[in-house]
This record gives sequence, C-alpha cells and structure tokens, in this order.
Amino acid sequence: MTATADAPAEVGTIPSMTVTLKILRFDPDGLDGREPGTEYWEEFQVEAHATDRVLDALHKIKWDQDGSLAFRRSCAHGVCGSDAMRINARNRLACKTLLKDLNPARPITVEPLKGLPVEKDLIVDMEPFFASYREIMPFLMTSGPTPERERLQSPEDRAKFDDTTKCILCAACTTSLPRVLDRRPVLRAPGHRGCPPFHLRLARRGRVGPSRDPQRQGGRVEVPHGLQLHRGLPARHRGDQGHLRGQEGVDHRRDLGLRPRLAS
Amino acid sequence: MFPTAHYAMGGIPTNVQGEVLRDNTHIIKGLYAAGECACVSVHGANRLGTNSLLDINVFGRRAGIAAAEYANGLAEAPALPADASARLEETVASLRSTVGSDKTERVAQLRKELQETMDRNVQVFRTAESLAEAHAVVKDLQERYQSIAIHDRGTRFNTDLLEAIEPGLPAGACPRWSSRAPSPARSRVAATTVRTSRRVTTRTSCSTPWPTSAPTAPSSLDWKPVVVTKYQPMERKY
Repeated sequence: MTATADAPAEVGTIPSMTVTLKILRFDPDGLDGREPGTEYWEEFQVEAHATDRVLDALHKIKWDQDGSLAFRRSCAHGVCGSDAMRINARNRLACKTLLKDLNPARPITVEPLKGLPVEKDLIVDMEPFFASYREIMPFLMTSGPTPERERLQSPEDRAKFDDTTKCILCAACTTSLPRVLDRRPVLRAPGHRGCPPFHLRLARRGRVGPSRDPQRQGGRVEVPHGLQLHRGLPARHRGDQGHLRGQEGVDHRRDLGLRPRLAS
Repeated sequence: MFPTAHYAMGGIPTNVQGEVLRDNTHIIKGLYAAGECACVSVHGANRLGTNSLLDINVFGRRAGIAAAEYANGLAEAPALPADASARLEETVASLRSTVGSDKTERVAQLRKELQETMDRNVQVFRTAESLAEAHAVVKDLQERYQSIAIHDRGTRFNTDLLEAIEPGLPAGACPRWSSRAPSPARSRVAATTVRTSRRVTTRTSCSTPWPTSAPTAPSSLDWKPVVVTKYQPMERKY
C-alpha cells in the first residue's frame, strides 16, 4: 500500500509516502441508504511524511477528502486528552503517534475507544468515564480546622502519587482494560458501581500520607459502598501517556487505606 | 513544530462582577462573561502562568454569584426576541445547502491561508504595511468563503459544519484586527506597532467591541483608557 519516494530525497528533505488508513466508522443518522447506527470500515489513502502524526493523516482525510469523518481533537500536542483512539489495536493519542512508528507500509487501523458508547465515527460518549471520576472525588479531603497557612506536603508523600499528576483524562488506559476488550463493559451507565483503576490512583492525589492532614494520619478515604476495585494493569494495557508505567500489580485498595482485598 | 494558540488575552469586556460592558461605562444587563472569553483587564500585556486560575477561581466565581443574584431578583425571565436564533439558523441552513453542490472551496484551505497571514502580518510586532496586507488577504478569503462546500449531511457531531463556521469568516474578529491601520502613536496591549527601537509599555489600550448589529456591519474600534495606579509605564529592559 505504501510507495516510498520515487527519487532519492534531497539532503534535509523528508520523503513523502502514500499511507492507507482503515477507519471504523459509525453513522448515527443512517445516510446513503445505511441503517442508523451502522458500523462499517472505510479505507482512505493520504500522502504523508513518515514524521507526520496519525492526527495529521486524519486531518488530511477530513479537510481534503471526506469532511464527514468525525473525531475529537483540541490542543493537538498531548495535553488536552481529546483524541484518544484505538490505533492498530492499541489505545493511543492520535496527536502523539507518528506514522513511522506504526509500520506505515501496512494499512493503519483506527477505531473508537472500546467500552464507551460510540456517538459518531471516532467520537465516543465520555460521560460514563467522567461519572466514575466524579464518584472518586480526587481532591484533598481534610478534617479538623482550617490552618492559617497552606497545607504543605512532604516530597516523599508527593512522590507517591507523582504518576497521577500526568493524567490528562483521555480514558486510553481505562478503556484498554482486559474486561473492556472482552466486551464486558467496565464503564456502564452513570450509577453503575464500577471504577477504573486509574481513577483510584487519582483518588490518592492529595490524600497520601500524613503530611497534609495530620488529623487523618493518611488514613482511609471514602470510597462509595460497593465500588468495584481492580487489580493493577499488566504492562501491555498501560495508557499511552505512560501513566501506569511501573504500576503493574499495584494494590489500589491498600494504597487507599482499605483492606487489601481485591474485588472483581 | 508549529505555532499554536496558547491563550487569548483580551476578550469580552467585563467589570469585576463579570457583567459585560457595552462601552467603557455601561453594562449589558443580565449578560455575564468569565474565563478566557472575557477581559477584566487585570492581566496587562503579558500572559503569565496561572492567569486562567484567576479567571476561574476569582472571576468565574464572582460572575456566577452575580448572575445568580440577578436571576433571583427577576420576577420573570425577560422574553427573547422571536428571531433570536434566526441569524445562526440561516447560516446553518445555507451551509447545509452546499452539500453536493458545485461549489469547490474547502474551508480548511481558507483557514490555512487565514492562519498564515495572521501569523505573518498580525502578530505581536505589526506595521501599517503588514496590516494592510493581511486586510487584503482577509477580503479575498471572505469572497472565496461564498464558494465553500461542506460534505457532511449528518445531524449529530457534524464537525464539518462546525469547522465551516468557526474561523469567523465572513465577518469575524480577524477583519477587525486588520481592518484599520493602527495609529502609530498608540498600541494595543501586547501588540506593538514597530516604530522605534525602544519598547515602552503603553499608556493606552483599546478594546474592540463586538458588533451588536448585523454581522456585515463595518467593524469599529474604540479606545479604553488605561488607569495607571502603582506601577508606572516604563521602558522595558532585559
């Protein structure tokens, strides 16, 4: 599917190539004789540089070939967390994935995140994810009187949740859970007591250790009754941002001061 | 690497309660703005880290409280004009009618040219010549905008339609930035007309009122005095 540049590239220039993107589309309206809610694969060819990102390729399709292709993106440099999608069967951010890292000689498959309801093409409904996030309340929850000055935190306690500060709420790691891939949804409708592991990591933010809240002595946090807690992710399911690197096998219940029992 | 919009300084002028100002003294009753869309004029000519936190934690809160108080004090909600949404509905209908038409321009191409000229000619340091050039480009883009076609007929998440509206063509902010060569004696906050080799924090800034009449009304600029209190304007030295 890919042709390298016909002539040898000049020094300093980057050869362009034809890349095929195979995109799983979803048509909520039922246009062109389709039933509303039809899922179908569509292939596009774009001229691109090896150093282009998947997001660039998607833009070339949307802007030049088919404006009806729908996907979310905002900052386009890995900060806003809008463009998480499944690229070559792995959850990644389209704006941080270079074509050259994907073997562009073969068609690149692009699908919406699994485990969340699809709205249109690559756009999913993020509400179940955020509903679960709100349930955890990842803020400093203090007890006792308000101090005169700010609540300082020790470098040691800060280091314990350093990885969570990188979370951009893109849902890439959450929706790569094995049970999501098994089509057993972790994230159901709001109200369902399921909790993705990274949210629990977030719940530690500001609550870890006694340094910020001496009254509490780094003790228990309120986790809604019946909340399902999951084991740490195996390495192959970690998120694109590397949030969970080194977190394999982490016991989130123990982190949160709960009994070290694993539900699910 | 490519340039990207980091933060928008300036915006809808408001007072410290978040009430939108019609001019330098009068408010538009019942209309509030806060955040990056708004301009409370506390930032000066620089965008520092955590400016957005001030926007949300202080002015977002104040605007919310003020808006709730205003709403609670009303006996009944003011009636909207019957044609309040007419202009937008017309825009949407007219863009939708371009699907499958013989029009050939794509808004992505126009937007790219708009970005390029704004980046080159209407950046922090601009001259009367560069503004005139940008103005000519924008005029041309506005004409070509009449020939754009969208592809998406869908009713949900029609981002093709959204992208056709977003750049603000034919009558958005861009022509206002470029439509009038600046008075060489005055400079905008954070935008300097290259005039001398010295850079002096200016005494005057201007606000650009949003048009309240038809979208095709000529753009207008108005001046807003800068109240100098503790910190005196001075030459910027590094």
